[in-house]
Parts: sequence; C-alpha cells; structure tokens
Amino acid sequence: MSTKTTILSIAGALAMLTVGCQRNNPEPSATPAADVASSEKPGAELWAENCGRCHNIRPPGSFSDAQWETIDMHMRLRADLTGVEARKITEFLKASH
Amino acid sequence: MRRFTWLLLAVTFVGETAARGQQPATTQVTTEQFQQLLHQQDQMRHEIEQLKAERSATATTQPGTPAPPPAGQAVAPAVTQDDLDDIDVQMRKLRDQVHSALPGTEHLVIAGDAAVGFQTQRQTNSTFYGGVSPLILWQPTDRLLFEAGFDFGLNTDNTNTSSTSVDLSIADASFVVNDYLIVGGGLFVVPFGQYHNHFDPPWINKLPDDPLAFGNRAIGPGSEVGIFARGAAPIGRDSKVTYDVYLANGPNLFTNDPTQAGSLNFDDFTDLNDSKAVGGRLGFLPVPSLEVGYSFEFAETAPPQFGRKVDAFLQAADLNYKKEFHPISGTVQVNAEWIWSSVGHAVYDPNHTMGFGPLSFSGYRDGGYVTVSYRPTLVPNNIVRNLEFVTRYDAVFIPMQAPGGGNEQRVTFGVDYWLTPSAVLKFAYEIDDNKAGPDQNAFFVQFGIGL
Repeated sequence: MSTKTTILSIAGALAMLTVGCQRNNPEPSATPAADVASSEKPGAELWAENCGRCHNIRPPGSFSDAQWETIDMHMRLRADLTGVEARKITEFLKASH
Repeated sequence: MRRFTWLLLAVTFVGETAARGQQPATTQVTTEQFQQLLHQQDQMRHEIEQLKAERSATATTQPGTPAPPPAGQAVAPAVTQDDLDDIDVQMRKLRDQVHSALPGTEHLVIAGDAAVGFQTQRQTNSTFYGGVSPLILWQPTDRLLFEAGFDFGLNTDNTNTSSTSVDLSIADASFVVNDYLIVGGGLFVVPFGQYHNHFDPPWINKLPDDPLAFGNRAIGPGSEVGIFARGAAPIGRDSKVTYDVYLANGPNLFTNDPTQAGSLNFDDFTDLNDSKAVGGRLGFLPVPSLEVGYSFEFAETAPPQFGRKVDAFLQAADLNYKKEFHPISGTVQVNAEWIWSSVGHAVYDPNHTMGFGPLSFSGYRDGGYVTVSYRPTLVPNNIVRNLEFVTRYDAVFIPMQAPGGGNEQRVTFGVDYWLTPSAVLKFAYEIDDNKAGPDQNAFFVQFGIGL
C-alpha cells in the first residue's frame, strides 16, 4: 500500500472515529436496539459462552471489581465482544464475588 | 444486639461514603481519609469477630429454648449466619472500593503468564527451560486502555554463549468509539488467524510448544506496529459477526541473508520501505460454541535496495469449536488454522556478489494445525475431571530449494492435569517427520500458569 493510500486510509479512519464518538457521546452505556440479542442473555451466560470458548473460566473472586473492569476491556479487544456483552459480563463478575 | 445495629449503620455509612468517593472514578482520596477508612474497617472486623464469639458462647451455654425476655423488653431478632455473611460481603466490597480509589492504582492490573518445563529431543540435548510474560493493563478512563506485554526468557546457544532476553510483545493503546467499534495503535497482536490472539499463552495452549506455522517456522505474523479497528455485531440471539482491519509496517523480505532469503521477517518494528501492509479478519459465530474466520494480509515486502517490488499475499482460515457432550461425559474442543503465503517471484543474489546466488524458487508456502482435545468435565471424580487428553497435527510446506526450506509434519499426543482453571501440568510426546533435516521426536513436561 503506497504512502498516499496509507494517508487516505488514516484520514478515513479518523473520520469514522469522529462520527462514532459523536453518535455515542458521552458514555457508551445505552443498549442500542440492534443489540437486543446480547442484552437478552444474562451476564453469566455471556461469561460462560465467550470466555469459556477459548480457555477455562476463572472464578469471579480471582480479581477485584476494578481489576475485572480493566481485564474485561482487555478481553473485549481480544475476543471481539460487543459493548453490551462486555458490560454484562463485567457486572456479573462484580456481583458474584 | 444494639452493637449489631450500630455496626450495620456504620457499614452503611462508610459504604455510602466510599461509594460517593468513587463518583467520578478519578476522585482522589487523601492518605488521611484512606487510613481512616482502614481503621474503621479494622474496627468492624474486630466487632464482627466479637459478635461471632459471643454468639458461639451463647449457643454453648444456653442449649435448647432460649429464656423469655424480661417483661417490657422488645425481642430483638437473632443474628444469623446469613447476616454475618452479608456483612462480610459488604466489607469485601468496601475494601475493593477503598483500594480502587487509591490515587494511581485504580484500574491498573499486572497479569500475564509463566511457564517452566523440561524437554528432551532427538538430535539435541535435553534441557530445562522457563519464561515469564507479564502483561500490564491500565484503563485510565472507561474508553481508554493501554497494554504492555513483555517476554523474559533465557538461552544458551551452540557456542556456549548464555543470554537472557527481554522482548516487548505488545505496547498499544485502544479507544472505545462505541459498542461496535474500538480503534487503537501501537505494537499489537495481529488478528491474523486465532492462535496468537487466543491460544498461545501457556495456560491456554494445551500442548507445551507452538504449532510450526506459528512458532519456530512461522509463515504468518504475530505482532506488528500500526493502527487497527475492530469490533463485533450480533445477529439474532445466538449468532455474531466479528471484524478486524489494520494498517501496519508489514513484513520485510529477507534478501541478503543466505540462511533466510525469500522468507518474511514479521518483526518489522521500524519499516524498511514506504509501503504499508493492510490486513484484517472476518469472523462468524453461527452458534456460541463455534467460530470460523478468514484473515488476509497484503504487503509490499522488498527493501528499496533490492531494486524491485515483491508483493506478499497471506491468507488464513481458522475454526474453534468447543462443546460439552453428555453421552461422553465431557467437553470436546477442536481448533484448526491454516495459512497460505504467496510471495512474488524474485532472484536472490543474482550476481553472486553475496556468495549464495543466483537463487530462485517458488514463493508459495503453507502450513497450519488441527488440535483436538477431550476433558471429562461431567465425571464426578475430581482427579479424572481435571485430566485433559490432547492430540495435534501440525505442518509446514516450504519449497526445498528455499534457504531453511523443506516440508515438516508432526503429530503430538499430550495429557494435561489442571491444578486450577489457570494452572496446568502438561506431558506430551511429539513425533516429527522433517524432510529438511533429521526427525526431532521430543518429550515435554511443562507447567504453565496464568497470572
């Protein structure tokens, strides 16, 4: 990919980022209608499905609430979770220890 | 009982105070406030212990029906174990809140993994080995995450030179745009296939070594420097689509090294040409227990001094399936990935100035693995339930004329024992069929742990 194409791609990505932020300001906490499917499932089920697909699931007591929030964001990246899935899993883990 | 009521009030008050101190998450708590909270927590713990002791003494000295209270005195409800457990839970939450409010420590996690093992391999000396890979995660806001991963290792080479190594495996920042999009940049794990993203930590990898195509004879990328966007979107109740796209420095073609000419160097931390690689992965989960994916990466790989452009097009297909089956009282997991690498035609050392050319060969390589494992998760016996049986076929097919070329195929059998969900003891025997050199059958013992 040439330098010019690279710069255009980065500009496009920044435009997409700007639009995405404006649509979701200030906090990504609302549950969009399109994500009804994930929001139907309880956090425990999402936890078992998404974490257990790749590795043994670790007990909720393994980490503190603040640590789970950070680890869940890390895993949202690695496991391609939606925002709703990540939040419900985090809330389940925080409520379970 | 009055003390118990005061205790509840105190817990509620302190809990409220700490909770308010958490709003917003960046509120600073002074050392004095923190010490005061710790003091209150110690006092409450002491009073709970006293209550437990008194309750125990009462139960011992007054068996049977308790005496009726004096006339005119209200009957206080008895303190039950549930009440005490509830207080314990509240105290743990309070402790977490106080800890998470400490300046500089909130949302900072040091995780990672470690492994220590022994291997004996035909044609080489047996050896113990070990390594630690700490992972630092810092989430300063709800939308922002910084990651830094390190690999600490040690080695002694054939010339009797011992060394320790410290490698930066990832160093990136990510920003949550919305529920379906995260963007970021830095040195990140490339979403090319699933192995490096999901399965290579020693407490997740069910065998002690990496598949050839992702390890010693890698033909695909691991980590690269660049920018990325990724996310997921649900389809119905059980299905989901995931996507990843990235721009990165991309691999460089080895052109001058007689032992590696024609191979791709994926550790291109500072780019050696103006071209950037573009890549991505599209994943599909028709049901939660199954994920399939397709990945690609396109890059111009030759350094400018090579004199001509050489493109590389890499593709990969991956599958991950894990499901519990009652008829066989256990869980089956199947992982499979295959990489196809096509590098444009080139002649290396065309004028024999470097002493190994002219050299030309096919730029096509492929390789991958299939791993199948079974764990009797539904068997009542604890020891049996912690066992897992694993087998893997892995291979790379590289042109024999290429430096370091030659096909290699292996079959590995392993037995794991899970000490905890993130600590495993592995035993494995590997049968090697190497067309490029002597077969290197091997026996491994490894302890892997997630931190």
